[in-house]
Amino acid sequence: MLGQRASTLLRRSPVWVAVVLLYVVAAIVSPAMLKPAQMLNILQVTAFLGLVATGQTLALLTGGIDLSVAGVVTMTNIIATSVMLGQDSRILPAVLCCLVAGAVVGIVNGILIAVLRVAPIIATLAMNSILFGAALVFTGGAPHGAAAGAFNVIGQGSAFGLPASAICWIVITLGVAFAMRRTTFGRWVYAVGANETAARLMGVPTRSVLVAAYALSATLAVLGGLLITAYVGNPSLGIGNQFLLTSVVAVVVGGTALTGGIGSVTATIAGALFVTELTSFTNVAQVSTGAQYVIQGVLIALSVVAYRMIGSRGTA
Amino acid sequence: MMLDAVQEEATGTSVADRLVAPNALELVGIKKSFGVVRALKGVSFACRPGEVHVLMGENGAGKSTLMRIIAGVWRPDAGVIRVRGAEVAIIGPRQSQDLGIAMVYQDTRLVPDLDVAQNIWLGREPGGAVLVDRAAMDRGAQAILDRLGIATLPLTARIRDLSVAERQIVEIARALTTDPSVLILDEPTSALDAAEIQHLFVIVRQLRAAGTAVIFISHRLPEVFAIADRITVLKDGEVVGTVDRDKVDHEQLVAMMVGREMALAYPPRATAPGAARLVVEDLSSDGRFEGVRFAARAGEVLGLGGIQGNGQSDVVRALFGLAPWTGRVMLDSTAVRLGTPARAIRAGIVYVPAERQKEGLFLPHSIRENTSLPHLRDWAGLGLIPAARERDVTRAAIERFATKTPSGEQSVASLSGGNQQKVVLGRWTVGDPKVFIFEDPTRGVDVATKLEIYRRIRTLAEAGAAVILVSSDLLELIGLSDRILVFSRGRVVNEVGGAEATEEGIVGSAVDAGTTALAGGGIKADGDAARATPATAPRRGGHAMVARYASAALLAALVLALGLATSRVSSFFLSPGNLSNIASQVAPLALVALGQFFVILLGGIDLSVGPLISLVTAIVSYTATGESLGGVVLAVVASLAAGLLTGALNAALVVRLRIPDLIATLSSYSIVFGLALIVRPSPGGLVGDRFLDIFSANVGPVPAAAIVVVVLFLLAELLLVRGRLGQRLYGVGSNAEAAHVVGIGTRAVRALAYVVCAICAAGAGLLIAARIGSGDPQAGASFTLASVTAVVVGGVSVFGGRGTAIGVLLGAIAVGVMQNALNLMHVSAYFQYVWTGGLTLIAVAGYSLRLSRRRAL
Repeated sequence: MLGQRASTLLRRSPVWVAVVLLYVVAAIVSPAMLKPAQMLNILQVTAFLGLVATGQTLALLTGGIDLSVAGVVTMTNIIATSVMLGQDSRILPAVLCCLVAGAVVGIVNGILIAVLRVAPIIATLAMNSILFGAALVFTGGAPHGAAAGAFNVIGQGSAFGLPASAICWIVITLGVAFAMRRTTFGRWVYAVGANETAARLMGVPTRSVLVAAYALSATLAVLGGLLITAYVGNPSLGIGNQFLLTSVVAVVVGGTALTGGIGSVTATIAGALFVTELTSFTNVAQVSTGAQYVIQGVLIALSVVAYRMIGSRGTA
Repeated sequence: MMLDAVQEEATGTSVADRLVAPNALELVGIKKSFGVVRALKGVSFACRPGEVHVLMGENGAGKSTLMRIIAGVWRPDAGVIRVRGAEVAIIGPRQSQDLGIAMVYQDTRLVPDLDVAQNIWLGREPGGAVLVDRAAMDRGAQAILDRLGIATLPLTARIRDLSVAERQIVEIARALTTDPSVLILDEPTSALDAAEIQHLFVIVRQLRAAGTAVIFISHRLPEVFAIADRITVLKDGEVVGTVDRDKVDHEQLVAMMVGREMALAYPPRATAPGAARLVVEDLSSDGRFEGVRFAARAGEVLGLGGIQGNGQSDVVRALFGLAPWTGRVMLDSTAVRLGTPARAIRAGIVYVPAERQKEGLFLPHSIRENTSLPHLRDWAGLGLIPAARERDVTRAAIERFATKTPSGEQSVASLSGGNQQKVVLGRWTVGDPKVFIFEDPTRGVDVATKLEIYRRIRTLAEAGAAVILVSSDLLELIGLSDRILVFSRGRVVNEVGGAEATEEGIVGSAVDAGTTALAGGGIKADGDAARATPATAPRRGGHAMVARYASAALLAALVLALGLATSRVSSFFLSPGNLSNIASQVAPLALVALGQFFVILLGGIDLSVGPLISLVTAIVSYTATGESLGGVVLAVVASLAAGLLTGALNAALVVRLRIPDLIATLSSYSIVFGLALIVRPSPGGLVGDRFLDIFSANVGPVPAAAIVVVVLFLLAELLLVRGRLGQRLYGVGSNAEAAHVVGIGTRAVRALAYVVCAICAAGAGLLIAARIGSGDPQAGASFTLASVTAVVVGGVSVFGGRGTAIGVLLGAIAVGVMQNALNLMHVSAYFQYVWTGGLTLIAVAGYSLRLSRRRAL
């Protein structure tokens, strides 16, 4: 029974197999990967990407994409540190500011895409540029401020032997996964992604669903941004850049289709783990940053092709 | 069996014919399957020169599949095709055309953004290797249109401004450019009125007299008897028989089409309908229908019929909230507010659209998810879905319709057409809807399922619902309806009882009403009149060049205004030094935007241009360091090679591996950026003076690079307007399917666009390297978005098919001038990111708003 379940899981989400296999290979090449500290570190660091990628999953499930997550993470980092200024008493206003700003960005994205019918890639790419520019203008290129000590606990501390950031990530992501699978809203997101016209004819408020999906995507990016800010403790203008690519890689590796309506949030957990494992492994193996980008690019194309092959074998 | 006997007879005749004279076209044992659906089960069919051979059959009988095989759009799984007695293998549209076969599609395959002459010659333009001969195109097109008796159609009118009937004429004219020996007309009359049909018949008879074999697909009996020499009836992918027109009457033909069992198998009609459930009064919608009133009673099936596209389908779609309308609607004697599908569903109205896969199903999702979707809000609001209830409802729905599936978790994509329709029906019979609206409920399903669906629809009525049936299949409409409302030009012109109705009666009253409406003038719906009569002159060409460059002129005026305003603030702006500076800044941006333009014109996007520019600066910073010319040549060659390879990679990912462009170029973005980092991990290196001298050279005060770029743009514009390449780019971008059926290699065109784009980006990289004088892995970072900005500001549609090179050049200049102006006003350079983003959003959103306004008109 249990074995059967496991095999179904593997067939349905081969990405988990990939996560384990990659770890085994990494451990063979570099036994240091097997140290508990290293494993915990991977979990801790995956949390940031994991949250951002969870949001990205929603955008891809609607058949779109959200390239503004990079700008949202940077924006969050700058707002959080400049409002907190290192004082514990200002944590709450800082977090609220970030969440409001993120929601506004997401809603604007959603309106551009759902109401004004701007192609998602162009809308969010432009939004990304606006956010990055705003961060530059606001800080004058030299950001000041710092995260508060108490706040940094969620990025650096641990609970029950696990990194606090990983716990935040898993709890939030499982919540989102549950909502996507078991609630009306989640079904609507899948329906709009698979066939927007049909969804409208079933009485689904398609525009609101799109706006909500992009708002959630931005909000999750804010949460990811808050976690990484707590981890780093400082403002940094370049902090979000990495997420533009890695968030898409994690989602695509997790098997969510770009055409919309197919995929899952839980598979993205594995996708995020895989990407972080790979980065960690390539760092240990002293692969250059350039080569890491090359690997990432190849990985995107490969996973799209691989999932298509699995899919066509499944239905044939 | 009986079927076999008839078929043998059919093949028998064709063998005899071949002994006399070779058939123009002969098919033997053609088979074709789509997944589990066997569309053609061994069809044999022959057509002689100089005959009109009508091919009949219901929807889904396999007519269109057969014709697409002949036209080379699809390849048969088995069977032999002979043209003039010689066996041939038709592997593509091009080849079919070369064999003298031409096809006119029912839903016309034209490129909306090209004009009449360009469409008529698409893929076969007269002229040289590079440029087309527009004068010869006009002459030839005019000659054919004259021959068809349509001398008034302006050759420079764009297809999207033409009426449906005019498009049909253009399509026929295109078919005639090849002087075909076999002409296939796929339901050519479905969009034409009586006069237009008569005109078409005159043309067809002319062609027959000239010895052309005409295959005419239709399922309208009066038409068939008017035009056919021989008739072949197709049913469920098999030939029922081939007969001479003179030796057959209506009843025999109907019996052949429908089959005896089927003809008897409609369920009995309602005996005593109950109270009115849905009452509609004075329902009007601009350009769609006017003054429609009817009452649908409990227990009855009310048919809406007439010639397709006369408002019957618009009425039900409007009721369901898919189009605006005015008037009164009452459900069970209470007025209801409709207006959106959600409200209609809540009020108890169910609409089952004809386009099942496009509008009714979520193919990758399970039967369970497809069944429950419209009910979720009732069950759970926005919250938790009751899983047990969902499972039970799904199981019940599957059992109710005996849907063939192992479980409710099966994806709908894996089901046959009939079972898919059962899923749709199962979904809507959950709960207790008051009114069911069915549109072509049996399109593309097999006979057995058809019968079952008919029975189900009748059962729904008997259970007390009102059923409205819109069907393009008149036999189905007559067989199933208790009453039929006949529509013509958006009005109800007749009501007949189902038992008394005949096909001829319905078509006749629709056509009569149509002609009297035309003669009387006043009654005809205004919207229809506007659609049918010629639009204003500028929109229909005449000033095609003005239309093409209107938005570019506007943009040029805006740039000038911006320049003037800036020169007021800073006198330095108009100094030769600054203008030359702007020119050298704009040159690389314009060049990469030109490349991006080709990709966007095809509806794609290339994100990898930015990193490619960085990579090129890195390459140059190693190869062109010295003073030797050899180093410069090496740098240029290596850079262009990098461009070529990147372009080839993108083309391979998008065209060969069919990865969506966005994710494919995101992948190459990462790869190329990685390579740039490998070559040059941090900014550095010194580009030699020789390289700088060449790439930063000036001609007088003007940067040579800027001149070259402008020349490239002018060349590109010439190719787009008059070049073979331009026709292909606009054709593929505007309607890839249309381009494919005339034999254009759409994949090759797409691949070429990506390669050209990357080479343009590499060229831009050389200019950037000369400007910064070193290698920098971030040098191109901002160009990915900036190139898209320039293109969309230049008025190019991101959906493909529309835009001009001149517009893109102006877009790049606008971005450059703006940047320069802000610099002169001492605005922080950091703002650049903000306004490029903002400008892009404004340009794209503005464009789509303009487009939706146009659509609304």
